[in-house]
Amino acid sequence: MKMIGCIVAAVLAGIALGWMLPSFMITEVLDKVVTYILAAMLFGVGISIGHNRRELMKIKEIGLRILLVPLAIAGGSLLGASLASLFFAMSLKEVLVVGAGFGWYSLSSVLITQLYNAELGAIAFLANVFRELMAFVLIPFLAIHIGKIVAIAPGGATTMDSTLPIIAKMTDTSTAMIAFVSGLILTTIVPFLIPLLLAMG
Amino acid sequence: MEVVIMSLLAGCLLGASNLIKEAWVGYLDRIVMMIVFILLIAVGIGIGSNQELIANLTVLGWKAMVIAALSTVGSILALWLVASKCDFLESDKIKEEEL
Repeated sequence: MKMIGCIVAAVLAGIALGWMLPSFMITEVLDKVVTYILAAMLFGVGISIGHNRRELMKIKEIGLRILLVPLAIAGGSLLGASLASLFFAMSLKEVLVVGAGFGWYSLSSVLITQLYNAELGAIAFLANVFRELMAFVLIPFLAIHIGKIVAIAPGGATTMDSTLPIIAKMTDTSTAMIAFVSGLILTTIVPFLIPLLLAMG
Repeated sequence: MEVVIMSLLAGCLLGASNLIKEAWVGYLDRIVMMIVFILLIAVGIGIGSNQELIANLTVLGWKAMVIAALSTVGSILALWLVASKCDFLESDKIKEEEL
């Protein structure tokens, strides 16, 4: 929760800065610089993902069936998000990309702002922050009333870090382990899925 | 777009190789986090410098809320369906008993 505060503060600071800066300062040059910073960040994210190879090997030991958990979460998220294009003047691609953040608001908003536009980046930021906040409320409810496994769903990619403690508290060790692996897989998918969806026509 | 995907893939390959020592990953995550903060400020600048966006922030918030709710509910229903067909925890218990 401390993290989410810092992150919202960073975006608010940026908004204030963007408001005050004269528009000629925000040039294509700046945009290009940010793209290279983004590339550097993704290089680092990639190293972490590649390094997780060892942890991903554990999936074989637990059983490949466990992959159904992140697959269901990803599929359900995208299917749910796609319905939003019926209500708003947004293309299917746009709503899918926002849904494809799976709660990872920092990475999804940064990627979408740079690769698409600031408006969708802002929506992605807010939507994925909302998703994490909803997860904090829904995890205890689902764990008590529906089932331990189902309680993993709302957290999406965050079940490997920020929402893992609450899952561990509300369920058991086996469920927490499945939640971690599911979050790890979704976290691995997001940086690939968002650019791929955006690259589609 | 290409630069971004290429650097992600290059990072994955480097990370999967044995060149990266365990101890470095902690530092790396911290550096990545710092870059993320810089980029989040850039996200903010993108919003703040766009008057039209600022004026429509409540509309954007509403859209974000609906997409978040739909994707969260979608993921819950999908996992509920899968979990009703396939008991992930029961098999764990059997394994533990076998041990």
